[in-house]
Amino acid sequence: MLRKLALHPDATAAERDALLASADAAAFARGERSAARFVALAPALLLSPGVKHRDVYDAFGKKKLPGKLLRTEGGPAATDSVINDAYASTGMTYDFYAEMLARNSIDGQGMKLRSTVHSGRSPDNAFWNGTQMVFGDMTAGGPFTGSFAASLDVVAHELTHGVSQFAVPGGGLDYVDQSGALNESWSDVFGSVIKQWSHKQDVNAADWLIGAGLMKPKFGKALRSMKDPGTAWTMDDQPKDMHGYVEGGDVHTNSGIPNRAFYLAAHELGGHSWEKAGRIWYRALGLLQPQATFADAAQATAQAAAVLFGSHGAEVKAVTHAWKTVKVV
Amino acid sequence: MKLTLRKIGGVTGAAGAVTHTLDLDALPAAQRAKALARVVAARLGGQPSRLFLPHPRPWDFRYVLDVEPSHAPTGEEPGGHHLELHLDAADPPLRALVEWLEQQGSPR
Repeated sequence: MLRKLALHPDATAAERDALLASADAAAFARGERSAARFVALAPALLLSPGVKHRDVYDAFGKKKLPGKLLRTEGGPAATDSVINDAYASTGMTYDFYAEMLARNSIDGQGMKLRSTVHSGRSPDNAFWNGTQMVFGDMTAGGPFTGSFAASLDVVAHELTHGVSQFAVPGGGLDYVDQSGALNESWSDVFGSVIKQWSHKQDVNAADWLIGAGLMKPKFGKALRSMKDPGTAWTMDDQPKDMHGYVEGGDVHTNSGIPNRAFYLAAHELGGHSWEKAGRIWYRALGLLQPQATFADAAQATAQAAAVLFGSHGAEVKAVTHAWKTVKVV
Repeated sequence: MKLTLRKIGGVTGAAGAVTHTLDLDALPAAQRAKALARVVAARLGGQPSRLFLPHPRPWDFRYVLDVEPSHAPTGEEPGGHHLELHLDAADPPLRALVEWLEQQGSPR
């Protein structure tokens, strides 16, 4: 109901924002059933609103989480640079959501940002486990080099899985098929946008790569390219549009389509991606549901653009044009 | 019989997928028999080709299990299979097989 009122043509921009904020809060409350089990497991993850709090743990190669606490908010730097990388990257991600989107941490309620580095659970990988970040180490024979924790877009990608878990009514986008590809894509979108924000880059200066420099050169330049899906690494199978959609394909494969839609919209709008396209995509999260399709995402982003910038503005046209170009609509 | 298990997920997706391969025919007879018993117990022939959770989340890694028979199926040894699953969607014998395979050999 709140969303319908927000989308009413007579509503002012301020009224729309206020109504959508109320709708988000209500959606969060509805989603609490699915989120509650995580909070119940870790009540200490909740803080009072408006406070940034980071804890970084070391698993020392073991699988048990969270490990040993080695750096906490405001405390001295650790001797291990990976711990400091995780601290800095999660802090930058928090700052972006707070300053640019007025979101207080992952859940919008001041959730602690907990990270574990050197985890034995995820060699050559990093993931969000529902309550915290988990960073594995690179293996000698693997395709990667460096540190996932030092890669801001990777960290922002994973924390955005947490954001979408709380922002999409019903507990997040189901991580399979098109909704799963959207889940991946929204994380890539904010991974890239937050990296651009930290570098103060406009859409032309940005590389639009996810995990640039993490791969050994013989394997490729990055994990994914939002500008040119399918070209990031040697076996990159991401399609650029629906003609290449892989039925039953992995979520990291088909996410190339919505990723490119975001790139196209941001590029058409110009300037800084976080000022218009990023706001639109963030606002659209609350308009999705767990089994959302690419077509639903196209509709949600167009609706969000209309709410934020007006129904007949360049923003709606850019968003619609982008989804048409990738052949979703 | 060759078993191949691929685990895909996290931020890296296919780029960071970890693959475990086990050739049962290369194992000593006693180990081969134990491994084969695990495969038989998992009743792969009775499983759907996709065994996913109804509402998977980003931490539900996707496993792809391929069984390649070394000869025609017999009463003792099952035939070929291709199965994609989330670990929490698997029944206990299948989950045990997947978790055991994850411990076998040097992954890549």
